[in-house]
Amino acid sequence: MVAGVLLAFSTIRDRKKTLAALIISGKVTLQVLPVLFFIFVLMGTIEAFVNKDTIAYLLGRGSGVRGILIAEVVGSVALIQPAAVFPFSGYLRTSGASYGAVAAFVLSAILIGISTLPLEIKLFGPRFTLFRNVLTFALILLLALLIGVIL
Amino acid sequence: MKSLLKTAAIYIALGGAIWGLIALVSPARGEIVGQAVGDTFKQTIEIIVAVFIFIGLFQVWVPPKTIAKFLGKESGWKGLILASTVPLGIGGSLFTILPLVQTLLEKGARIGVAGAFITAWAGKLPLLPLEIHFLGWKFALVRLGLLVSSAVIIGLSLEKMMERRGKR
Repeated sequence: MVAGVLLAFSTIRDRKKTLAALIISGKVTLQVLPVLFFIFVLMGTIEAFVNKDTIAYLLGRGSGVRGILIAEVVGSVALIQPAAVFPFSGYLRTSGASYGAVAAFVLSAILIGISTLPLEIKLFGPRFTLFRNVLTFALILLLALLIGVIL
Repeated sequence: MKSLLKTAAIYIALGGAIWGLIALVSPARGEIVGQAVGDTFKQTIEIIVAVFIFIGLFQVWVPPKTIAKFLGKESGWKGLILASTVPLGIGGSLFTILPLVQTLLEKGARIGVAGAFITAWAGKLPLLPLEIHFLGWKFALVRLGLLVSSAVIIGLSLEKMMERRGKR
């Protein structure tokens, strides 16, 4: 709905730009939708094989810092588009993961990437890369703990 | 474009293969997987389409290159504050954001701005509808607030660490 209104508004302001926007949207769709499909299959697979109690045990409220760390490490290693992070996190949440663990997964999946390390080192050098990732990892742990307390 | 299609095909094939394998070994479990995929798609397709439109509009009306040019010039607190808010509107993954931040440094931005920029970018405003749908508005707001307020801290710490040990 809101997207439709914005789209109409954008069309009135500038047709060319709107067309360009739609082309980008199309590309993003092509890029993300297959990944989403893959993630959904993965979610279904977890649902079919892993007991919900296991997720709740590993990442649930009682798991504390250990649960947050598990989620953070998984998020850092995961090769996943940011747009696919939220559906999967929602699934984790409904499976019993705590808000803190979910936050740790969301943030590390977006901000820390084993797969982007080579690119980051190439662009910024090894020291920047090391410091940024270590700092970010520490920050995520802290924020996840805070979110766990607040929510 | 070609590589885009190739990657798309790989993911679909991979997903299909896992699903097929499970269905082959255990049809009952295959059905659970199928149901999960179908249900999630039905629940999310509307929001996903909206988010994709958002991303396109954001990129055209607020082009990342313009942002980089703009932020490269700003130093001091203004630059840091801009760096922890402006990137919220930018889409993409680390693969697209890291080169952008490098342009930022080339244009003269300080390391603190670069660090804050990457951190704040994880706020992911274009994906907000998805986040609210799956995790609730409370979670989304708290995460966003905490992230924005800590972006400067990360930026400045990173800058300090880089300075203490010489140039990069």
